[in-house]
Amino acid sequence: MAVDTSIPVLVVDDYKTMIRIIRNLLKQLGFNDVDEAKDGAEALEQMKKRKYGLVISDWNMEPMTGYELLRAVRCDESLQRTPFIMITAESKTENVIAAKKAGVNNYIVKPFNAATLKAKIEAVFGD
Amino acid sequence: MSPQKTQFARSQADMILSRLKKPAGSAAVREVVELVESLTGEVENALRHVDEEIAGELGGIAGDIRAMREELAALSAEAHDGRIPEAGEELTEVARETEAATNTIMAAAETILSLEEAADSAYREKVEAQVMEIFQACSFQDITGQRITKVVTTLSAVEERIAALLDAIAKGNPLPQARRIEKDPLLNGPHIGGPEVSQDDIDALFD
Repeated sequence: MAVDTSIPVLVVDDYKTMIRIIRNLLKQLGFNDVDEAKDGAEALEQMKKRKYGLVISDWNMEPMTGYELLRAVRCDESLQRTPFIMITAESKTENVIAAKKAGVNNYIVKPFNAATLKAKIEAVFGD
Repeated sequence: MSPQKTQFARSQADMILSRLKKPAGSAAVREVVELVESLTGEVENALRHVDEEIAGELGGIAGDIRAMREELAALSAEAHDGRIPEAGEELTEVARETEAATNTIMAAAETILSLEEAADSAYREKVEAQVMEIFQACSFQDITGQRITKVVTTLSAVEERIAALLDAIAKGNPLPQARRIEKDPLLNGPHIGGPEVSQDDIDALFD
């Protein structure tokens, strides 16, 4: 993978197990600087404190969903260029279209595998 | 009092008045006429008041029946919308996905156990590949967790409505307003039978 794996990555999910899985998969792909947040609101707070090179977020979380996080990020001048991948079980066409319109860089539907995650990260960074 | 009854009473009063007026003008007759007119008005007012009370009571009963019917309709809608049958399907999916994930985990573990013990890079590569399989398989917990949450939400709503009905029936209290589950149209959780749109179709939107 020719992508710069030294970038800090923020993984947002309300399931501890899923964060652990994504963190391990990212580690296998060479990403070692990985932070986590349990919902959109917490992620947004963290993003204001640290500049992340990539955000990987679930959709269905409370109190702030991944979709709301995406929209908030795209509306914030200092954060709007942050690459954003949605990993979610929400697999309706309207979800994918809504996320794309809101500015998501890629969309992975759960369950997914390491190869899909790798391919989407590479696609986001134009590799 | 119904319009027909009022009209009948008035016609009866008019008939009595006209009879009393016929013998022509003594003061006693005029007094009787005035008395009858006054009594007629009071009787009409009294009957109207009684009617309003009865109408109020009947209105209250009708309101309770309407509220109870709405509660039952809401419960019925839960069943007919497919949410209750869907709850059963969700649990079936949970069982199927859990079994599939367990088999994957066990197969990966068995593969690791059967590998020849050698500390070379090929061995490590094989172990890592199998560990990745285990990680991916463990994602079932996220999917099944979301399915279970949907089932619990539906069952809680049904339980709440049944409790409200039973409470109202037992205490004779007015029924609370039927409450629909507010739902974000973009929050549906995992689709029955796997993703509604495949990863390939999603990828096509991003190419």
